[in-house]
Amino acid sequence: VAPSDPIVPPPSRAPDPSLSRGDPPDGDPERPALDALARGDRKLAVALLAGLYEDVVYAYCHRMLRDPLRAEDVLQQVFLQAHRDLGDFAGRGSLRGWLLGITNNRCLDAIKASKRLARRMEDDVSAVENAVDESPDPLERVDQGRRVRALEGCLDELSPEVRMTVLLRFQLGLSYAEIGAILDARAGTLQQRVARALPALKACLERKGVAL
Amino acid sequence: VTPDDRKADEAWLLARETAEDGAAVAAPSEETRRVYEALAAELAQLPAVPAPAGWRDRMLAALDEPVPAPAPRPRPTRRWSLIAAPLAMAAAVLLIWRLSADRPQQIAIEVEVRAGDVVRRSGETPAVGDLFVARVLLPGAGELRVYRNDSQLFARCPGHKACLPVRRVGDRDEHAIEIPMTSKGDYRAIVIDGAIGLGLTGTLDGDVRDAKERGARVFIGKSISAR
Repeated sequence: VAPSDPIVPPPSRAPDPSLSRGDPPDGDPERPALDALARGDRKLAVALLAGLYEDVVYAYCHRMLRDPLRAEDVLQQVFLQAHRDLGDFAGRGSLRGWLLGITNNRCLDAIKASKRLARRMEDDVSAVENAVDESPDPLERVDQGRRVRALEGCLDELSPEVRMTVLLRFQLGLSYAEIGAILDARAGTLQQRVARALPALKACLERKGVAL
Repeated sequence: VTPDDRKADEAWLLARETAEDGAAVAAPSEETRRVYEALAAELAQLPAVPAPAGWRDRMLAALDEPVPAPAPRPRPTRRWSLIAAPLAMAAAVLLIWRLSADRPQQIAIEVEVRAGDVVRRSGETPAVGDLFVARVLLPGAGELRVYRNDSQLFARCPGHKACLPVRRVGDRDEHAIEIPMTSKGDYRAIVIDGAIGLGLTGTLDGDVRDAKERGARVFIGKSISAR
C-alpha cells in the first residue's frame, strides 16, 4: 500500500467568516477590533468580534450542545464574558482562539448543567432545517441531509472533550498547537483522541447505514 | 470490522496525526485511507449554522444594562447617632415615602389555554395539542420564557418562532407567545424584567435564582397541566 500524507482537513465548504467580511487593507480581520480595544472601546470591540465570529461560535456551540436555545444562550454568554475580560487579552495568539477558549468553557458548563436534568431537551430539527445547504440537486440534498444528521448524531455519542477536539480539528481546521492552547491539553493527548474518535465515528455511521 | 482491525486503524491514524508535516505513513489498506479521508472531508463540510437573528442586539442591550450596586453595609452604631436619632428618623420616613412612590410596578402574566379558537374555561382539563398562551406587558427589555415540568426550557421570547410580534401598548411592550403543548406535563411562563444576558442552568429554579442574583426582577405565572 502506498504511503499517504497525514489527514489534513480539507477546506470547509462554508468560507471562514473572518475572510468574507471585507478585510481591512492590512489583511488582518481582527485589526479593527484590536484598535477599538486599544482605544478602550470594549463594546465596539465586542460588536466587531461578534460580526466576525458569531457564526463560528454559534455553529460550534450548536454541535456541542445539540440545542439551539442553549447554543444561543452560550453564544451570548461568550460575548458578554469577552466584553468583561477583553482587558485581560494579552495579545498572544488570535482573538478567535481566545474566544474559542471561552466558548469551550461555557459549552462545558452548559453540558454539566444539562447532565443534571433527568431527561434531555427535545431534539430540535430546525437547526438542520436552518442549516445552509448549497447542494443544487434535490435528491442529493435529501441524501446529504440524512448524512449530516447521522454524522451529527454520531458526534453526539463522543464525550464532550473528544467532540470538541474533533470539531476544532476538522470543522475549524486548527492545528494541534492551536487546539492545545484552547483546550489546555498536550498535542499528544489530542492526537490520541482524534485517532480513537475517527474509528468510533466510522463504526457509528456504518451502524446507521451511511456509507463513506 | 474486528477489534484488531480497529486497533490497526487507530495505530495508523495516530501515526498520521503525529507525523511531521509531509511525512508519509503507510495505511493498512488503500480502502482504509480512502474511508478516513472521506470521513475527514464530511466533518469539514458539515453545514454552516448561522447565529440566530437578533441575538447580537440582545447581547449589546445586555451590555448597556447597569450592573446592580451592592447593598450598602450597615454602619456600626456610634454615640453621636443617638443625638441625631430624631433627624435620622425623619430622614428614614422621607426615604421610605420616596421609595414607595418610585417602587416599580408589578408585572402580571396573563395565561390562558386555547383549544383551536376556543379559550378553555378554568374547570376544563387542558389537553396535549392545546395552545398555551402567555402575555405580559414589560416596561423595558426583558424575556418571556415557558418551562415544561419546571425543569425544561420550552420556549423563549423574543427568539422562538411561536412568539408573537412585540406590540407597543401605552408606555410598555407587550410580549406574547402562543405555543402548542406537545406532550403531557406542566407548562409555566415566567418573565424576567431586565436585559441581563441570562444563561441557562437547565431548571426553572436555577434560572430564576441566576436572574435574581444579577439584579433582575422575576415574575412567575400559574402552571397549566396538559393531560
